[in-house]
Amino acid sequence: MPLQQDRVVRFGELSGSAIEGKPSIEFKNIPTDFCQLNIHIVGQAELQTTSGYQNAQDFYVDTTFQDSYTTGGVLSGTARMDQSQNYYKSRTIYGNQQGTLLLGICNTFNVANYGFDQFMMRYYVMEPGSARGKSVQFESFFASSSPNSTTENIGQYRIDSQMAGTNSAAVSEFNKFKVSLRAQYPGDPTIPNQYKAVFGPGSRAWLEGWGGGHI
Amino acid sequence: MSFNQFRTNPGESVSKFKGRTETPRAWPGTAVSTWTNGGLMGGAGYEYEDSYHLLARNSAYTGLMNITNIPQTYRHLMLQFTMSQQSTSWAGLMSIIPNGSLYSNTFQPVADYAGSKGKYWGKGWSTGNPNSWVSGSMPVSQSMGGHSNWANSNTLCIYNYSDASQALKSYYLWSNTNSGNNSSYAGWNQGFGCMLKNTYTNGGAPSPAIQSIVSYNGYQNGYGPYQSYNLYGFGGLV
Repeated sequence: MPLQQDRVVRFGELSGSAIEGKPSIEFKNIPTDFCQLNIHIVGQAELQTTSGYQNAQDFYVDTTFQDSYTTGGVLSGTARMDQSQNYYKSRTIYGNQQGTLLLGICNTFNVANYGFDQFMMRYYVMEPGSARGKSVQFESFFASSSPNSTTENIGQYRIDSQMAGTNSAAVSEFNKFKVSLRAQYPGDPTIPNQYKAVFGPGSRAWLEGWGGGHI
Repeated sequence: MSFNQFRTNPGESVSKFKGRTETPRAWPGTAVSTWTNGGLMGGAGYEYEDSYHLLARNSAYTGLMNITNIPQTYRHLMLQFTMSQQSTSWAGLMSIIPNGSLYSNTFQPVADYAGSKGKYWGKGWSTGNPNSWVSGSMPVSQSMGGHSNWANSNTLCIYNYSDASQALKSYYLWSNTNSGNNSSYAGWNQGFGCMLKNTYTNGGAPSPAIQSIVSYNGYQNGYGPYQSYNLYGFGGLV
């Protein structure tokens, strides 16, 4: 198999009003002729509320691929949370078809920007345009101000239809991706103790294509 | 892309091109290498921009790692490095300090990043016994480091390093070290944090752009044959 020399390119960046204050972001029609596609998201978590209640809480990410997280995919992985010098808790994600991971504990409300609750997320998919079965690897890191904890997720999401049975047909190309943020107590931010989870100030997301062509 | 790095010559109408893989035909007579910074369109109107540009490299230096005059041309920074020292005892975690001065820092950041916080956890192994650990809040990113001829490698990503108005300067570090001795230590360390000027400042506390990076450890006698770094800019030009 010949080796192919090619480029690493960055494209499709969402920043400023394209992501700040929004509960979800989506990339559509992603070019698929890369050896590998990486999705980078760097940002701050924010909870919106006007009720006067401000309770720190778990902050979740729901992930969909090709408009679906309920069919043809299974998420598995581990979330690890540390507080101070102590290992706090871990959550093993197995067979989760909602594509949900626990990003961390958020204590930033409205657009108040204390510089904390920063996170970094990366998704990797190999040969996004191939007809073969494929999985998406993910990792996330979250630095929380309350209660001074960090959370890490490492795992993978299988996006073909293999879960229906062994040797079933693989899913088509990977060219659509969406992440949505969700508060532990979601709902109408005008109602006490209900919150809207959004990307906070300075958040940024972009795509990265490695190499070109797949065989 | 399925195109090689050759000059192209279309010879047929654009309407017959097959999506993005044949987009290069729209730029006849130009070298692919000249299609930078949005010169080549992707699907759905995406514009491509080259990423991971090598900014600096060095190796075989003794003493501490000292990277100065970092170009402020890219949005994010990736530093791959190895560190070691010549003493016979492990120096402990080695600090990676932004905008510090050589030999003048302890394990604290400089004033412009006084609000920085990070956390680490890792696992190590010795004589068959595994051990894991979690750090308390750390003001700077810290490498496992090595000593003598230990193998050591690290990758540190700093986001928004060149943006003086940005409070979101988070970083991620992966570090590992290995003695090469099956009765001694091997371990890895993973960390994440943010480089802040002040802690808990409503409205944000932007820290200055990162112009330099210096390492620090208690011995300060870096072992040249086991030290090197590659510095890359990525995520687009500013």
